[in-house]
Amino acid sequence: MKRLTVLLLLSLMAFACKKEKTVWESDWAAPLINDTLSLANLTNDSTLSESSGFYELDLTRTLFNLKVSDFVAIPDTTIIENFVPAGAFNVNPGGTFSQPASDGHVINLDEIQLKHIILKAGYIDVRVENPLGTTTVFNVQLPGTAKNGVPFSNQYAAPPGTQANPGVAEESIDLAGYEIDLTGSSGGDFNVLQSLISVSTDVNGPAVFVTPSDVTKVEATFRDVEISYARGYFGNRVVADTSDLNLDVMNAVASGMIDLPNTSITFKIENGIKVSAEGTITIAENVNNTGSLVQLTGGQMGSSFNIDPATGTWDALNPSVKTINFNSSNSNIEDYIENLGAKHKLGYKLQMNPWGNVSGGYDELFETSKLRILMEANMPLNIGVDQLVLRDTFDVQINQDPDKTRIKSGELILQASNGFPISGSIKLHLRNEAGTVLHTIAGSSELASGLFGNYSAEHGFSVANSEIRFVLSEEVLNDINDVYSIVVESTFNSLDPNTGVSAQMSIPFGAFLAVKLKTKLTSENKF
Amino acid sequence: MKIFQVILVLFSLLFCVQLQAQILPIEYDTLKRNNHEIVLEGGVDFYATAVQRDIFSKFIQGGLITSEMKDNSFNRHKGVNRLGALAGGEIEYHNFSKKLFKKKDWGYVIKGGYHFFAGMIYSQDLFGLAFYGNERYMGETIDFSGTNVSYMAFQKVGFGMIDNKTKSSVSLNVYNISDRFTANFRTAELFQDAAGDNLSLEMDGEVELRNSNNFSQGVGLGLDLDFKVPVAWGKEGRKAFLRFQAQNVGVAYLYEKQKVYSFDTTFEFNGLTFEQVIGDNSILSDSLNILDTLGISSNDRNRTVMLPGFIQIGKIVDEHYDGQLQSFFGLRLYPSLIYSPYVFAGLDYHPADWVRIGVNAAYGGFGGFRAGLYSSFSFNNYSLGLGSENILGFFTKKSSGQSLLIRLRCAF
Repeated sequence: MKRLTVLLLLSLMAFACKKEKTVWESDWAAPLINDTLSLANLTNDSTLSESSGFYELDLTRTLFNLKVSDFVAIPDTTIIENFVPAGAFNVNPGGTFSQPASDGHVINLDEIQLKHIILKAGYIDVRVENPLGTTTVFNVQLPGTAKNGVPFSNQYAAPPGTQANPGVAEESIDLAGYEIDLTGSSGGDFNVLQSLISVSTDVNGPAVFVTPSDVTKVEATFRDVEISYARGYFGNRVVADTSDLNLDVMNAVASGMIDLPNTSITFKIENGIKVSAEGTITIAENVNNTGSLVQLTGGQMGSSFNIDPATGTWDALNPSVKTINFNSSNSNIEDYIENLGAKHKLGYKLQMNPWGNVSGGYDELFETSKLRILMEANMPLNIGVDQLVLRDTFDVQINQDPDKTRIKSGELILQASNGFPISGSIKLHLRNEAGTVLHTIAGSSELASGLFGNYSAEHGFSVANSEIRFVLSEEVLNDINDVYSIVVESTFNSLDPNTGVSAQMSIPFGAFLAVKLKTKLTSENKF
Repeated sequence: MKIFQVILVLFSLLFCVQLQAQILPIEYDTLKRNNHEIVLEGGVDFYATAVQRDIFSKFIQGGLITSEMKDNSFNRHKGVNRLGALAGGEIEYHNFSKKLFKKKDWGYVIKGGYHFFAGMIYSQDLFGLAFYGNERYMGETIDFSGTNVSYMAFQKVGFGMIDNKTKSSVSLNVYNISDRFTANFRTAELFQDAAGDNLSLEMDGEVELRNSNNFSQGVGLGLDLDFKVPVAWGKEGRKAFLRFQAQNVGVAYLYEKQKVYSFDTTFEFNGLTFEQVIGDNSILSDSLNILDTLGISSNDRNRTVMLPGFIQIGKIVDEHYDGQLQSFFGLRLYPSLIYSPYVFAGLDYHPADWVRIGVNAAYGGFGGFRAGLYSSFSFNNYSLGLGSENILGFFTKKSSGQSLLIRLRCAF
């Protein structure tokens, strides 16, 4: 029995060893990114064009576009007519017991004095109320309101009712295409909408006895009116606005300089309204990522200028065009652009009829009338960059359990073919939650400028190949759980191959940057 | 990465061993010393055609698998390789005093046990991928077509009859299936170009695994058979005994649905575009379904499966033989391609009444040639057997596995 006990104890000891983790390393490689960047990827229209094998920048943008409704808008207007019998009397079938009421209703348009309008859209909602014991017929006419030469005239039959519960008839009429003369019955007024309404009983109904308490009622509401033509005096209103324009991509610029060729920007003010105006570009400024603010000065900045009225008629309207040019000789336009502003502020002020009603109430606008401010810039895309630093931040959160399988070390390999005349060096800053940089990983070499590569007959310009390695050391990966963001910092230069100094370089048409990002990682496998 | 995880999990599972009972030799013992007998047996036996014991040991005891270890095992691999583990333990109670069905020689047996079967057929490339990674295969095709993996862990309780004289027995067992995993890659090729720019994966196969953490995934019914038949052996009318044994032969129904992944897909990858990474339609900002991307479909199914039982036929050692030296041999079969037919033969030496010592050689199963050693000791109503079917595993790290088996018998 003693020998058996010893044997059993020995057997137990053989299995009593404590198991630790099984560990081995293996090496993995995989592609991550494979893409090609070109300027075609960065623009969405015809901003870039070719000129002699190089890119040319064509910036034409509409900054403001004011429509007819921005100048003349007809508010919703309700006309109410109550018809009170002159006394107590019998009304035979078909008898008119209320004399036709002719009236003018003034539309509140503030300082605008309209004489004639044509409606592009709109409705009139008519509602009639009848307290009599027989059907009543409302004859509604709008003198001066006509479509294709036919005056507006409608009849509405309201069913019998009582004073407490009158009979009601309702109808909505589409006013699109109607012309309205707003000069009133005298022909010398403005903003006046005329109506002529009479009420009679049904010719087939019974005779009824009416008293002054039997009030019939007509309610007509003009709503959602849009005009396609207006004539009158449009007042000397001031239209002013300031717009903020954010170019988020410029926030990536951290420091450095960019040098552009002689640049000019032209603002064009197109006036499609037959009214005189006075305009001012009140402000143009931008602030870059470092807080540096540059205001555009010189030229006609802040100075008023006259805008002539358009000429012609609705089918042959000729807008007037006012051109204001900012160039290197009359303004600080280069400084303004080379500031690489991320936040832009642009402002204008327009005043119509600055000298009053000099047209005699004959301002006109048409459906096609617009008032636009356009910006035009056209220049060769020659860019010089000197230590231009772009930074972009990506949030990341990677968790590696040191007691489980994890990435132990490795490297990111960036293989690039660059046709742009710009070189760059890239650093990765790994930051913790507080934004403190824990590690900086510098690329093993520079992204070479295309000008330092070999001529590619396929593309027609020089292309340089680069391989940049970012080593992920064990120290870096040991801290990877504390990394909350990665800042990619790129420093760019446009070096002249002959001088080695940054200079303006033309960008060859079709230039591209082909990128392959691959990984080589060593995993520490634990089970 | 799913495939790699499966492979790594498999390698891990293979080394989470318990006890199993396959000690050699099985002795023909007709002594009926008492009315009751308890037999405890168990062991672990893991081995492979190519993976060396030093790697196996690291999965059991932990520690670093060095490049040298990986190289040594890798270089031993051929086109088709096997590795696996059998482990488990059983306790049996034999009652010879009760007479079942009023037959004077029929006692009864009650048993319970835990078993574990894990094995796989795989290619050298799969071993290389799991232990070296894919980088060494740049410009090559990693071919792991034909990979077949099977793993099941189950428990059983059984009741049956035992013959008092020959100790032949038969029992009907009820099984609980606690864990199961299978994988079958009919086609599986990963191609990488030399520059590492492109990956191309072609796969056709299925993977099945449990879909819940419930201890019981299914129930089964099976048989254990143990018949000993006397045959004429040699001169002078001498007898020997052939043993026909079947253990855990049956089927199980998995009432817990199993997750079945099916794939017949070709997937090409050469990197993401910038728009996919940082654009408005970034895949990183969307819920990415990797299985859909890889063309892998999944569904939940109930399964009826065979238990990983075995059949063994062979000549066993006769305890009543007067001589000191006798032979034993046999053949063991599992109903699985992963386990090739296992043949064994050995010599038993009986120098004294209380001790037996033996050696054996075997070929097949999860590995190739193996040599075993055992000893058994008898003390009054107790006997203890200790053995290994792979004795080299205790002495050299270059062996292809380890085996330790134990049997304790108590009569009272």
